[in-house]
Amino acid sequence: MQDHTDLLRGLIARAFHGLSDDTRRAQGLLRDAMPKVVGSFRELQTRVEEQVKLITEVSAALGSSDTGGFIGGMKVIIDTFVKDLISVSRQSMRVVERVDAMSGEVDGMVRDAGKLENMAAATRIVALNAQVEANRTRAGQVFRVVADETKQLAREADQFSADIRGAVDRVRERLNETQNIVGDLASHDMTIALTTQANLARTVETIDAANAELLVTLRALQAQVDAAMTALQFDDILTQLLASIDRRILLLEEVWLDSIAGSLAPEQTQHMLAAWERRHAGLNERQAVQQTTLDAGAAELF
Amino acid sequence: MIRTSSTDGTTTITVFGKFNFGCYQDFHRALSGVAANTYVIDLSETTYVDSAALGMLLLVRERVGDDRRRVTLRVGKGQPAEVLRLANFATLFTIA
Repeated sequence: MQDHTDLLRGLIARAFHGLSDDTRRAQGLLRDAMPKVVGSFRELQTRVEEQVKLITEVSAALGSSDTGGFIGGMKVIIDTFVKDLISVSRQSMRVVERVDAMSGEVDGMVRDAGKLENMAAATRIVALNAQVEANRTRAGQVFRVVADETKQLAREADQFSADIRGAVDRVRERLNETQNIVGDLASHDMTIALTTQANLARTVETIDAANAELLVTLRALQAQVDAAMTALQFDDILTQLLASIDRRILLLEEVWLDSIAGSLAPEQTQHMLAAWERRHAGLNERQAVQQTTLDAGAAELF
Repeated sequence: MIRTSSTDGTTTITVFGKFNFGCYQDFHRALSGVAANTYVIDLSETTYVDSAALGMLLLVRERVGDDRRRVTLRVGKGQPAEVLRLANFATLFTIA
């Protein structure tokens, strides 16, 4: 009978030790794990805040079409491009007008060349008359010289007129070329600028919408992480509870060893019962955590 | 194609189809033939304008001493209207 009692006492004592060890291990695991979990959530919280800040900065850097920034800058570039294009076209068309006026002057030169040809024709008639006189009169030698010189003059006038016409034709050709070159310079398809402007407006809308959506998502994530961070503070509650459990196990073990497993006299038992009752009451007072749910704990602790 | 008509000191030049450098000679001739007090450039039948056309319109404006009130642009829809808006021509011409 004594052997059985000893075996039972040993078994229960080991069970108490086991309970106490498990409680302490649970406390140890909690101590090790919680900083890592909390640390991970803090890191997540930091990253989310960084993302929110980044998106806000990107939005500010892009800006709108009215408030400067990258998009405002792009609008200025397009406006400047269009303005410069129009300015070049305006100046080019002025040049085309001047070239037109020069063509008019050249036409005048052609008319003058025509007069020169008329004068050459008249000179040839004079030469012919002089030749007739040379054949008819005694002073024919003198008239022959005049006729030869006059013919030579008419030939030179013709050659000069032909040279002028040739030069005028070349000038007219160059002027036409110039007019076409300047015309090319003035001619630009404005559709490119229109398309670019429309694309820019569409891009602005897309970026704005994407940023707004991303910001909403990040803020929701931020709220969730904040809630998780608050919830993770339950480790304080658990630590206190586990400590309380440990103390109760110790008391129970003591009671068991001193009374049930031992052989106290009746008067000693009375005395010990009163002492255990006081210690139990003391343990209840020390128990800081009374709540049974995390919500209640949140209200009480935080 | 360009058509010109004049009434009570106002010359109206109507441009049909594409308005580009290819229209210069006709446009210049239409302008040179008259000394109007005010001009109406009718682009309601125009399907396309390029920068050379804008340059020609600015030359018309120069002819009247850059007086915005003396040149009216009659604008339809589509590309010509968009280009004139892009070029901010409402500040330089009367737009009808």
